[in-house]
Amino acid sequence: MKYKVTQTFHKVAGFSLLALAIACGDAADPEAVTRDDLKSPSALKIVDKGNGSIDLRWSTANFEDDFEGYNVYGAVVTDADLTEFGITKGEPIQLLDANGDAVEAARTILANFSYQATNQYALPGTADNAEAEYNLEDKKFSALPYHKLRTATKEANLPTCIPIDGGICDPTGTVKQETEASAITSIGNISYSLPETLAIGSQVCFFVFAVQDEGEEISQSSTDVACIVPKYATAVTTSAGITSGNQIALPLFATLRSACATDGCPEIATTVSAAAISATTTDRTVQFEKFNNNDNLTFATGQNAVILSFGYFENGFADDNFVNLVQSAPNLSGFDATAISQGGGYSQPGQSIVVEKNHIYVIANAAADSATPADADFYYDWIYVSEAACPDTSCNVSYQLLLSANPNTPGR
Amino acid sequence: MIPTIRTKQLIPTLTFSIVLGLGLSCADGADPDIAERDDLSPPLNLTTVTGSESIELRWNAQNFEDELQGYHVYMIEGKSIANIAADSANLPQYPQDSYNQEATLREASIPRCEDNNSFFGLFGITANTSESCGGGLFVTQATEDTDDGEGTPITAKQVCYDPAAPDTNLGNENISVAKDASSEFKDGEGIQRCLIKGLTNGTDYTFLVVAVLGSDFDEISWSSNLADDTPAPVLLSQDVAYVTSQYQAITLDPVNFTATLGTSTPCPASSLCDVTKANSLTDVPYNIYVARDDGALFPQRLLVSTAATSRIKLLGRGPMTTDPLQAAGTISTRIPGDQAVADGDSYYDSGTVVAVYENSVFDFQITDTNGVARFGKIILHGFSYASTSTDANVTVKTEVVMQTAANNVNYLTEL
Repeated sequence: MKYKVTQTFHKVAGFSLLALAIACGDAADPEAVTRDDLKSPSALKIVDKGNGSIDLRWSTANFEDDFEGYNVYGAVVTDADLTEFGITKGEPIQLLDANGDAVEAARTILANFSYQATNQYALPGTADNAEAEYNLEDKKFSALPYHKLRTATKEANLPTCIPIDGGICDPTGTVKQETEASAITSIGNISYSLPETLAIGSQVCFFVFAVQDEGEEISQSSTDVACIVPKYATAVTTSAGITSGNQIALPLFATLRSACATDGCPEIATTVSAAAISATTTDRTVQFEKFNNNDNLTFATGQNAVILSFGYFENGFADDNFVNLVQSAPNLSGFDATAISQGGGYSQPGQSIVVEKNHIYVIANAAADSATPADADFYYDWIYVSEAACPDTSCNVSYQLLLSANPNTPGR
Repeated sequence: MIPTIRTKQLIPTLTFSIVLGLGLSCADGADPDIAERDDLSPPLNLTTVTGSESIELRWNAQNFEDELQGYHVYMIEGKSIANIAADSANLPQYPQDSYNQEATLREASIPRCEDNNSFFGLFGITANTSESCGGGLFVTQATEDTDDGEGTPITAKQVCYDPAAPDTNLGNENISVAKDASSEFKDGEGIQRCLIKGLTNGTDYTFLVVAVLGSDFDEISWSSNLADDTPAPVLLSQDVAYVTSQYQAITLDPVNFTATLGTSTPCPASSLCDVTKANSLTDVPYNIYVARDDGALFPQRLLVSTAATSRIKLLGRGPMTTDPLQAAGTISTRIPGDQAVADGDSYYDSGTVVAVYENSVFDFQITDTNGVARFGKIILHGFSYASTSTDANVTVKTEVVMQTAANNVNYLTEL
């Protein structure tokens, strides 16, 4: 039976909540220590690799002698859940109050982010994870971060990951690692690939702790509770031979979205045709086109679709600048296809903009058969153009789409 | 007495074990101890933002120490990191020790990474390379003062010492440690900023930062990496009315560092004012063109381009982003890390005509007749149309900034 812990965490009223001083910890219920004693991760970001695959990235400065790695907590939660838990996106969870005493309510939060089958908010993959010693009701600070079971003992293999060379936090997997803690340091930016596949369209939130002293001490939480709504991703598609007066139309995004949800994103056809697109086109969301021999390759959108260029990102959706700089697409505000200009820096339907290599664009689109959709009806879909060249009289383009499962979700 | 160190004197003695054995037991603000990095996290990833007569420093901090006081910023004027490397054979004296003006590096410092040896070489120091160079850190350790330094003294200003007591080098823009008694999450965490004012455009500056601990400022951290920059003047910042079926040229001078706005001119046929056409103008190697779209369908929007024969290439960087580190409501062009793209092949081919929507930023790479490349940005802010008619004039605040230093890809601050 799944259940949730209903005790609400009132952050601002932390002094009035029960506070419990912890004198010492053990691996089953570690002591939360100050950030002076163990630096906590900061600037937690999430990279959406598409189709439920994500990376977490954070910054660290862990020189502590007994530093061992990081524990990652995640849960499938709505904004309403976060409010109920007392969590604010982008802010940390305080395990200790100003006096250094444990915040009891934080234990409730951890229970709701526990990687345990009985937790209704748990990440995918908890079916074989039923360690009896970690009862949610015990509300331990350990409350099971994301992990694998150790093959030999069927116990949780923690910490979640251990930093290795190259800025990678390596999942500990199912085998206990014998690395000496004193040999582990972590400086700068760290990346961790979550082994599980997340559900598309459902918000998932994460935070991270540093761990030391054989798991007996944990840091304060990462400075951010970071959230993402995973998107569908199409395979990288290459279209070639776009010659003068021709174009390649992408499928209507609504159709593509439905196909992604049903059977996985299909391969995108790359048929070249001469059919032009305009502000009243209803069977295509966007197309690549080349008007004349010496023209560049351009984008143009159909009815109720607009484009905004986010500029140059050499490494596409995983580019550090994209992950660090771009929080979300600008919201459409008062969409009007007949206005002199569109708000937020978007093009107007039917307008052409030049397609450039290594650029990311967001395409806001609503149902093409609706005369004037409401702003909330727009989907914010992303396209990364990894190649765009017109070496002679024809153009080639390679691109990948990230499609939002839900409308009105402009988040990256 | 001004302490000085000679390399020849120190090299034989600066082994890690000897340095550790020196141990300063009576540290104070004039001669602080060096805290282990486990006890006092050093600043990480020091970067700069180029301004006009100013440079903003930004670094990542993980400082939660109870007695954290702030950060020392050390600055060398008139030298880039490359200059310092070239000068590393010289052995200057320590500069004068004056609290807010010219200060010494206090005790000597031992760089952690050999890449930065040259900086400390100016202070008569060589590196201990037994530690890794991960994260760009280098360790500072106390060493014994010696005398009779030689060479040219270096000015090292000490700024951003304490935001509660800003000195003349700082403005209100300075953001550093913000202690909050109700939370331990606002010590010295995340990106710290320090705006250095009163600098000279075109002059090179090199910086490093250390964290400072103790009410008497008696402990400092290992140091950050080095960062250098050159303040650059604002070239253009004004509201410009862009008229239907016309264009305006912005002429850059990469030698005298000026940008001149031309007169509004009717669009030539089949060039420049059509997104599907290349800019075919000639003999204008240093011009950026901003035009109204002359197509029948979308005359309201703007287009930007360079001529096919231009020495300037453009690259779209997307919409301006709101920098959460700036004051509320202030838009910054981009945030640190978003430097100019050094690879010229990534820029649009000369002659490419690109559609522009409001709040757009374009990088440009300009190559002078000597083949020297410089980078800059043209920023087109919000569009203000005179009416809802598609042929209405549109007024756009137009800004141009450009690095004066060759090949400098640093982020440029908003004007």
